[in-house]
Amino acid sequence: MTPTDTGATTLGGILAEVARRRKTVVVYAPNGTERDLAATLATRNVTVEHRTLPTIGDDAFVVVRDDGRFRGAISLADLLVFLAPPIERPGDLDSVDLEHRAIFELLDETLFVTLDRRQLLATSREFEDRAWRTGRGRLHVGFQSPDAFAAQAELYRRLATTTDIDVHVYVDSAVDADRLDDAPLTVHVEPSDEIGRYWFVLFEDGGDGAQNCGLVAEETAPGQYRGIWTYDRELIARAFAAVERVNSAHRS
Amino acid sequence: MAPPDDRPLETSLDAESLDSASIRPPPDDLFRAVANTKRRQLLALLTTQETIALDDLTDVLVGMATTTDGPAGPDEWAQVKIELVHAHLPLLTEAGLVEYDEEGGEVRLASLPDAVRDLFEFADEYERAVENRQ
Repeated sequence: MTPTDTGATTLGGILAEVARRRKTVVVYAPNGTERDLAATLATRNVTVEHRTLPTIGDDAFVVVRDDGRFRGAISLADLLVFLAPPIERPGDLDSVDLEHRAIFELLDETLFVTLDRRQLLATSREFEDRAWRTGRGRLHVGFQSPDAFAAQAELYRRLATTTDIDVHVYVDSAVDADRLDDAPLTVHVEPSDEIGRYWFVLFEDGGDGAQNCGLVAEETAPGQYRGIWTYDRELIARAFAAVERVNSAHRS
Repeated sequence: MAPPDDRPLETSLDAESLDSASIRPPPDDLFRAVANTKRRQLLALLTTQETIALDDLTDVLVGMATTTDGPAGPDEWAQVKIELVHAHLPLLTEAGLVEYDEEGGEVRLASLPDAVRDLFEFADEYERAVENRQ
């Protein structure tokens, strides 16, 4: 199979492709209150518009539109809480609240240039939670650092042991991989640079795809990332293909 | 019993403003119009801008609800738009308060007496004042 010219058969190509799409965020707020938000969202590939409505008062809110279609609305207060680090890390898999889930869906496929670790962790936990609740399908996870892997190794052992999910873990050292030697999952211990640079969590639900989700991020500076999360089945399938293609080429 | 207040009622309602307006909505229609949150928000909004596209109006009404109800998605949006097109706008156009151009998807306030416009502003302000006390 030959990769296409667009480069979208690699994780980097997928990031570049999504970066070219833009969303519009319309902020309905009294004058002045939107500045924080504009500054925060300016780092994402969104166009921020501001509209003032005399009848709004303190009830500021934002509307997200994508190619002219309504995607979602959220109060400015909720959005600022979500965007302001630190995001509270859910203590266990059942505690990701519905409101957060709605915001994840609202901002999906929005490239984040300067998202920090904690926000990526919250998204990863959200997706692991989805996989857990679904209980089947396949889950491919790439850890960029030994620490990140160490923190999650037990969770993946539990996922592989107690669900029917086909779990694949990508780590870059054999020492780390030993942690999961006895678990019923596949560890890929020598990922190429093309995969090793990325933090990814890819899940396909093995059914109608309603629970599919994917996160792909790249560290651009220590602690700073750019990346996407998405619920788009086609995009997720391509990310799986990108990871598997590189991996099989590496083995042969 | 409290002594009668001999202060004159201060409203913008006088014969002149009522006469100069082309439309004088019947009281029952007028008060039915303001007997619903979404219609109060819509009417107050229209007192501040000439026209609004139906989709933008839907955005605003859905957005306003998020401050109390949490984030809303495309399903909620579609629901509110249907409500507008099939319930609220027909009621308001029949009462002669709003003009809705179905083809262009534009909504505008009818040419109304100032006192009626004031009522719309008051109704919206009153609602928010009451909410803020809760």
